[in-house]
Amino acid sequence: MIERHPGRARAAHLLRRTSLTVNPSRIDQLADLSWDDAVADVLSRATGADAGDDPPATDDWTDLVTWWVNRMIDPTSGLRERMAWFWHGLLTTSADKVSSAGLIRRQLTDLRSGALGDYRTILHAYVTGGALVQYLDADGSMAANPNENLARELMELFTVGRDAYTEDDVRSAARALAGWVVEDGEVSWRRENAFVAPLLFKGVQDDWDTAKVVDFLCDQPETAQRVSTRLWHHLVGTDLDPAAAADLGKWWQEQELAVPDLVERVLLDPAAATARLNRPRSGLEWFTAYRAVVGTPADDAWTLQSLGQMPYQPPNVGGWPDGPRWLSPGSLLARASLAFDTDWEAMAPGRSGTVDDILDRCGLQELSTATRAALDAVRSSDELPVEEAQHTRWRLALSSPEFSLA
Amino acid sequence: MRSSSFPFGPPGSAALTGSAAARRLLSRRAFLSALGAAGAVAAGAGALSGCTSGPSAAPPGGSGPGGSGAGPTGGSGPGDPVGRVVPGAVDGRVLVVVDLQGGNDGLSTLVPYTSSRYRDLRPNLAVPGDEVLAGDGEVGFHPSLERLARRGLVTVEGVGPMAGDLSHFDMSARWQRGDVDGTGTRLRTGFLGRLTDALDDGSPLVGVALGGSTPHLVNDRASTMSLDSLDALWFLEPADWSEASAYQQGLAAFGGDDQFPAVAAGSYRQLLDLAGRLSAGGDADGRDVDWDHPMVAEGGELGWQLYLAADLIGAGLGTRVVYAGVGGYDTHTGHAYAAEANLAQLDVAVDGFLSRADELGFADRVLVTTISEFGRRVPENGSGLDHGNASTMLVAGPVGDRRAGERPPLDDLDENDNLRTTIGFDRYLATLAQEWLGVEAASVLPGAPEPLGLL
Repeated sequence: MIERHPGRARAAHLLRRTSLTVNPSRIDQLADLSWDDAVADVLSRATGADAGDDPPATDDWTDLVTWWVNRMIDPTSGLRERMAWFWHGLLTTSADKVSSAGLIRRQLTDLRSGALGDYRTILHAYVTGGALVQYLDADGSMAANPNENLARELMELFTVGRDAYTEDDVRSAARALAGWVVEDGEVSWRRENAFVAPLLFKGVQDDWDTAKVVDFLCDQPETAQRVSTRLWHHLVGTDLDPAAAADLGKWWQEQELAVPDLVERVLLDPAAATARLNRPRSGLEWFTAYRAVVGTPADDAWTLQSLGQMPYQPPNVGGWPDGPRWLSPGSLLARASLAFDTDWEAMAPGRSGTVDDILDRCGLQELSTATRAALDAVRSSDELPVEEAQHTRWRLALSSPEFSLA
Repeated sequence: MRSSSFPFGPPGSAALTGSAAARRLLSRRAFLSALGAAGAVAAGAGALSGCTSGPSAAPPGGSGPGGSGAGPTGGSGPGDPVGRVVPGAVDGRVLVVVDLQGGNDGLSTLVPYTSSRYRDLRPNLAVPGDEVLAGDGEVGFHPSLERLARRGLVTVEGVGPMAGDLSHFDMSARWQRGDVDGTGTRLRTGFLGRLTDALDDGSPLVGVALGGSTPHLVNDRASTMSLDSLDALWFLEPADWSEASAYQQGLAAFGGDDQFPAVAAGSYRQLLDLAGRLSAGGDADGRDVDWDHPMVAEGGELGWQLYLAADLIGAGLGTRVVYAGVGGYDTHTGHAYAAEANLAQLDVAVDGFLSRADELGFADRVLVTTISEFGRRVPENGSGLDHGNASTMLVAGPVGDRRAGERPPLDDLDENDNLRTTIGFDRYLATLAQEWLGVEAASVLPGAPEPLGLL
């Protein structure tokens, strides 16, 4: 790897992990700060501002995705959009099973405004929001014959994990979670559909209802450990050994699941500063970085479908898998075809053709010698006029292995 | 040479001039935006979600030279069997696996229409006896499976896990690994991926996934990828158009010693190789889709995938294993309507695929089979069915028409009120591997499961 400038490389790394774009002017601001000071800057900017405008009222949920992606790309966007995106990956929902865009809008508003709050609050809002109630079939579930889907996924995916509950727990939780109904785009709870007698759940006899079940699950050490380990993996890209994962979870539980505390603790770990370019950018991460570089608004959010990561279209309730599959031929083909097909006319202002300018614009402050050599090798000639050579360098920088890494 | 037609038909790659290239870019951009609009309209039904012009997203992890086995674990896992082809195996056979994601209800697919127990447990959702097709006095097909019932196919009842559980993810992962009892969590490759490695002869596309990501095809060696359209490779095909060739030279020069840059560089080399072979295959003018073909017009996402699968197999890229995944089978609510719609799409898609296979001349060497992570709960929950256990699998192709497997009793359900497994799904997979593809079952599946003697 060639590190073009140590301070700028460090700043670019922090921005790749804590926002969804790498803004060159933010690199300038952070380049002279120590890692710890830069982390503090990123956190205070995000927690010092609210979520800004709410998503627009619309009856087409894809408008909400377009709006959100443009928020992610905005130069002022930072840790809040990164964390809202992280929560959507964990607490996902498919628009295919939600009857109105208003319910998606409500969930997106909750995710963005709560993104830097605490996990318990985020989970309560998510579970009782009409979008999830419909997505996981809790809409109309009756205690006499309850639907098990929400109960199972709540425990398996959003809280304690696969080994920490039994089929009896699923059946009990399904009863306790019964009673939700979505009508005319509004979610409500009906006592006559619910189970109002005492119930045995996780070995505890109580008048269980949705709030009590969510609170109980948030109090379990498995929940803090699973969610904090997942955020570690997202921000640092490495695996956490079991002892360190247990420590992190225990510590986070003591912080009452506060999100900014967890982000700070993870980023201040020595591994966070040094584990660079060690995980692929997912489809959406690549798209927002690409869009921010070419500077045109993302009015084509459906392109995210071909990149494999359209928000509100997860492959299943487990969200999008990560790992080297994002660098497989099919995945890189989708990215390369967008890079090749960039609308050069639209990005013309401020476009420069030198390799260093291109790398700066792309936030590529460190890269392999092979990538640098591939870019340097592009020379204009009789067959390749100056402008086409310039396009070729841009295309290669945007297609480079390093641009596909987080 | 390539008699099939490919989707999205800009003209061939040969001799692109600058202006032709510009036109192509323009038309492609217009096409993409038109497609985006169509996609948005159809989003609710998910019907067009397989029709993106790009490759499918998050493709299989395994990816041939350079990219293969490139996960953090790298190399061969200690537990992953190495596949062997049995001597004298029929050459060139293709296996198409259709994954009915979410859990397909076997009792709605092949209906026990004369069972009073079935009607008692499904007061709202039992398929009426006078509607089932090709009934034999005990079971008959769902009315949506009209074409397949007429065509004839092998059904295998009672296929499921040993010591199953009710999680989509655990059970999907077990099918992916070929791990019938959940003890194979150390397996890093997928069962279908191991088949591609066993069959690997250096062909450019031994395995292909349609419709997106799948761990099924994770492998060590053979070239595999996920694709939604072969024309997606147009800008990587050899061209005497300097802007494309300069770009291609740059991609070919990517590399590095670090793990991920090396993976990406390997993927680009594989793409360039595949594009070169496609281009050498000639006539790209015929890459037009017959939008009126019933499997495209009525078959939804699966119809589109299998339409492309027929083209791919016909293209002579050495494809032996095809995976097509389609969602929508997790019918906790509204089961009757969903099953009717899902099975109708399955019917037109598979029937259309077999008809195209016949037209393209490979019907005698292709088998279409279903898998699904589990069946569904036998008693209904109102309008829907919760997660189940054993289910009925379908096998269509040159294998006749008969009811096979072992029917699980409706009066002896398991502790979750689900059908008991009578045929471990590893034996079903063993049958596909050994009796169809000629890959020794014990070499690609743990526990040396015995094939069923079906094919």
